[in-house]
Amino acid sequence: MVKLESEYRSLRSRLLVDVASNLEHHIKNILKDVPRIDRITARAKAVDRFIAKANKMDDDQKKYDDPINEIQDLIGARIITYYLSDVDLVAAELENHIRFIENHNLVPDSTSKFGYEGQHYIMFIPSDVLPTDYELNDNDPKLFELQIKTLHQHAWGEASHDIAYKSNVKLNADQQRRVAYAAAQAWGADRIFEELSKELLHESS
Amino acid sequence: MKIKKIHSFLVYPGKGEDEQHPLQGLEVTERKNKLFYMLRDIFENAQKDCRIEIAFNSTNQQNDFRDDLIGYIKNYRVDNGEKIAARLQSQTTKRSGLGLMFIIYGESGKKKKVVISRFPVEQGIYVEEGDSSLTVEFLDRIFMKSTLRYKAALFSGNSTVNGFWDGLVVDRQTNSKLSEASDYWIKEFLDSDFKTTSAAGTARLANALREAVSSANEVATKSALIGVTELVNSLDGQTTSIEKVCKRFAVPEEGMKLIRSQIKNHQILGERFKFSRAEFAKHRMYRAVETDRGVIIMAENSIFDDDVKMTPIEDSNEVEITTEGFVVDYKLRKGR
Repeated sequence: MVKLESEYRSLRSRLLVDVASNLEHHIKNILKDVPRIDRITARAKAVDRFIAKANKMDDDQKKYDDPINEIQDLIGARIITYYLSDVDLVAAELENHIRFIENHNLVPDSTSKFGYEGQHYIMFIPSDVLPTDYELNDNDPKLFELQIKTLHQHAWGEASHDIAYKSNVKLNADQQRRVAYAAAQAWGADRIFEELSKELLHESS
Repeated sequence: MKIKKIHSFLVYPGKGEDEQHPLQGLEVTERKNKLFYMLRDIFENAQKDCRIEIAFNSTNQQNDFRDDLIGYIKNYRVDNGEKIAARLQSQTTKRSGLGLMFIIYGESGKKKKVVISRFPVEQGIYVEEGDSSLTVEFLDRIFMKSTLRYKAALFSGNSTVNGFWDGLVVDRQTNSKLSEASDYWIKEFLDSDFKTTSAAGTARLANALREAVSSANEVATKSALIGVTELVNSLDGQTTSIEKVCKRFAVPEEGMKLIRSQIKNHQILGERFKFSRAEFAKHRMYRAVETDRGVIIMAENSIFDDDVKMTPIEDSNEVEITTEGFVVDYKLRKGR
């Protein structure tokens, strides 16, 4: 594990931090004419988060045999939009510019549940964001994860993350219900703002 | 890198056929003959020959060709190679004809590498010279690497779980008008497309040209580059690269240097993409105003509003247009 951490630290400082910064700038450039974007961020996965993910178990077996080569979000980017339809606008523009291998609209697995929602992509790192005259080799990641979410989806996701996923205590039924209730409120707020934006903003433009 | 396995298959045209020709596969085991040396050269030089970047089509991390490729990498038996050959056969039209396919697989530590090459069938004449005689023979099944129709693909990576989503191909037909033939290898057989999207490639070209024009000090260079921004629209829908555009429109060396200086990664200069006129227009660099008398005033978009003054004339629909500066060049162009 010490060797893995050292290997990841080296990769992160040698390449990932710069690529993440350049990627953020690149995405901002692609989306410069797309309205109602709250923020665009990109980051290289922190060392402690990488180690935690590398140690993840799946049915009593390690999920990753080769974490550095198998974990797909060593670089992650996130775009927060105002309204639901803006997610589609942003997605369409980015799909036009960057090739991807996965496009997944994450929603709860049942229509009666409320929880995490967001548009997720696994995309190729564009050559434009690599350091000067750098050619990716087989030891370097070629993909990054992109999340596109509304303000409300993001707010719920951030607020509930530590509570629901990082807390050492398992949530009881009431606590789970309250977390789901908060997700339902975020879902509802998105719907209302989407309706209002269609009635007021699109009509006036 | 050590070659671990070579399989060869004779692949017939089978697209749209109800019954497929039975596939004949062969492992190339002999390692000390000209065939092996030729294939070893293909394997070792694949990175130099295969210059077009492709990415597999996928929306849910699944791609049928990639599945077959991974299957072969994990277990490089002839039956797994046959799946790839069968796929090629199902996409090969009569026009593409008979072909000889090689799958060459190698490993070095964690790294795995696969080169798939297709030699098209040609006809030729075999000549053998004796001491006092000459034998001439017609051969109707020769498979050659030097023709336009030769195709190859290279895939390499460390992980069969997360890797092998992209590759490199050589396809001499991507530049020709035979895009249908090229689509057969990249789009249909490999179920992939250029890694650089049309919008991304076109935007790069537009930005590089715009910045190069801005930084050009010499009028001739500036003028040549501005000319390219207009001529390039004739390439709408065609596969090209920044390098090819500059070569095609004879950009002078000084202009090339300026364009290169805008691109951090010089490999981007050769990346293939489909040029889009509509996308290029979004990065419009020049604004022009034309009067009813045929006078045209044109300037870089970023300075137009500051340097071109348009004042309405009172009690008239006409406009007075003024600008100031030194005259550096006159141009004579054919009217529209």
